[in-house]
Amino acid sequence: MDNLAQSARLSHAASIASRNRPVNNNNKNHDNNNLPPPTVSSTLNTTFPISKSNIITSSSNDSNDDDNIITNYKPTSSITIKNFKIDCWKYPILNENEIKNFEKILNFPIPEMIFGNNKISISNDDKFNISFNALDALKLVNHDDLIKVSYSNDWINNKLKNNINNIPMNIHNPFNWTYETLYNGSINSGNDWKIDTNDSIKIPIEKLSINNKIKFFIDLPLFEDELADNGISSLNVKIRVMDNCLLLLQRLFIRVDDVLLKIIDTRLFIDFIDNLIINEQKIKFNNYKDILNIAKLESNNDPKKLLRDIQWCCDNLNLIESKRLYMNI
Amino acid sequence: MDLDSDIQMEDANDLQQINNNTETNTNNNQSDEPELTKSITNINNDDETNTTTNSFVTEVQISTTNPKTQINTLDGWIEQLSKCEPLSEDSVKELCNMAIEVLKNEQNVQPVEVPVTICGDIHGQFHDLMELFKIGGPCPDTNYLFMGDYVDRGYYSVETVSYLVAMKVRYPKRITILRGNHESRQITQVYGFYDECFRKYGSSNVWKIFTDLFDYFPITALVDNSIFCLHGGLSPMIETIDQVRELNRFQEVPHEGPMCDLLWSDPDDRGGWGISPRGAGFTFGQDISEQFNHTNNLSLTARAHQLVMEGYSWTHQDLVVTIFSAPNYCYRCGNQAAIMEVDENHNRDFLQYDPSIRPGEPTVSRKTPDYFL
Repeated sequence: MDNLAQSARLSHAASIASRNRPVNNNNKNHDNNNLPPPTVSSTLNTTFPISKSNIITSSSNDSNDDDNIITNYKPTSSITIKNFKIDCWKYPILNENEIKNFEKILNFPIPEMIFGNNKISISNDDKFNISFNALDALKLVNHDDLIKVSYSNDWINNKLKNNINNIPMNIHNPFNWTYETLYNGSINSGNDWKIDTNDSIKIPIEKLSINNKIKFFIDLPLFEDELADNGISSLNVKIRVMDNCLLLLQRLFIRVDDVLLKIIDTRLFIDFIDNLIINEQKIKFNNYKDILNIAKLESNNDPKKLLRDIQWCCDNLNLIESKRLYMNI
Repeated sequence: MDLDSDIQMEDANDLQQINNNTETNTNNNQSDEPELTKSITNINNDDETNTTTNSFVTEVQISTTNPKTQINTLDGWIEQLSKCEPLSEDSVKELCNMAIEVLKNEQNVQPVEVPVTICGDIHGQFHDLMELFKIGGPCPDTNYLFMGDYVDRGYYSVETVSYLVAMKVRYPKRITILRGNHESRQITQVYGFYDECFRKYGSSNVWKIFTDLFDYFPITALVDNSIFCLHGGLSPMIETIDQVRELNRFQEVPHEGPMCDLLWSDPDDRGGWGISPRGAGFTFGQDISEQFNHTNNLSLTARAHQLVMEGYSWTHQDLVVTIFSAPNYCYRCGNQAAIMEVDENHNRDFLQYDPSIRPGEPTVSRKTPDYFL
């Protein structure tokens, strides 16, 4: 995917959000009565984009389940530094009703462990708001190039051969069960990204050294699925906030055993002094066989163990794509 | 534990039978003397691990061929395991040999009487298993039926499976342990049990002993001819319960076929048989459940295999129930666990419970600030 598409995605998300805002505001004002002031401002801005289908199907009084999902929950931890406010929601996996709501919106089976009430939101007054949450991430799952588990062909052929009773068998509504998504945050206000075409903007490593003390840290799962024991797909987001800047890392780790490994890292860096925001995404990928061969060089005994070590994979997978957006607010 | 004397008699008889068989099977059981020396040598070798010393002392009693002593031995193991202390490799070996003698005579569709408490996935969450027995009542006072997935993912797969197997050998009529898709050589190599055995015993021997034992686990159970219990779900190649009885289950969980389906398949909202979007594995719709329950005169199919926030979940208009008994799964999901009590009159009651809080065990908020880049 090229940079234009990337920027289109961000603005698309923003436009959906703004399109929906008037629809949601009525409901929200009721829900927000019990919440402390900082949360009100935060939740007002963090509107979940609603897919078109949901807008059409939901009647006016059976209002947005989509929206109630997060408004019912208060942030579990928050911090304000300079003009930036960071709110975090850390809750258990969704219950049955919440899962139904998600599936109604998404139209495909959601990951087994779905932390749909978890969220990190970062805002600077009205100028800027970005959040990271599972629902929006899942909305951007790409269902075009679907892969299958390694033994799928054998399995299906055998089934066809042995199907004595001629039971009709289909793959109902195929979807991307690895949940690969290029989601890089939901922009709710301040969508003025510029593309760093000549590689001039870098996340300043020196500001992120051990000397810059961490004031606030949280690590949240957004979703995880064991792919019916064919590997793993996990989306995780963590943030550390220092006096003068913050760094957020959202990591999607996909391992399909005997097929592929992929990591999609999204980093958000905010410099509180310069008001500079950088959003960087890196995609790393190897075929299973290739990365297993690299692992074998390091561990003869149990090379597959390394393939379960996300940090090792991150250090060893090939970087295949990288893009950087930035803005000043 | 409060023991019912008639249970002890019943189980002692079983054990006597087991014992005769193990005697011929194991060659290190020739007399008391060598085993005793062996255990003492073990104490010397493993001196550095402080907690094991006690356990080896209890294990000195193992070797005798007297059923009464064997019950003592089993009780000793159970007591040790209930403190979350793993058995020695030799004891695991001996325990699994005993277990084979019990399990090989069980049926593919093991009959179970009511009242019974039906449980889902445990996944190495040992302390939550202890909580389960607190909530459901101690075994053997309460009869239990576990529907598989004892190992992988949690930190105490070894202790969990050892405990359940020891209980099975000690009270064979009071507890039924079915096979889950994780009771397999291939899956345990990826999802934790293999690594845990290696870490706790320094070799893969214990993993091998257990995975060999798993081949003997029954794959389904039938509660009072009315509730069909299994780990995964139905198979398009199985229309009647009698067809399950005809399977050869004494093997590694195959990649396909009816035995694989029973341990792997999932119910689905859509009707008919479906192939998973992953390209292998079945889903079955409500019409399939209706047909199966009708053909086999069942009131319910109970299964495990899938995480559910409330610990249990009805599907297919109450024809199928999913039970999941690992609270706060993987120490981070925050889900409740549940077990299903079925009484003499087939009344069903779900008991839900939360994770047992253990000092030193990872919790949801265990992460310390890290200078990630």
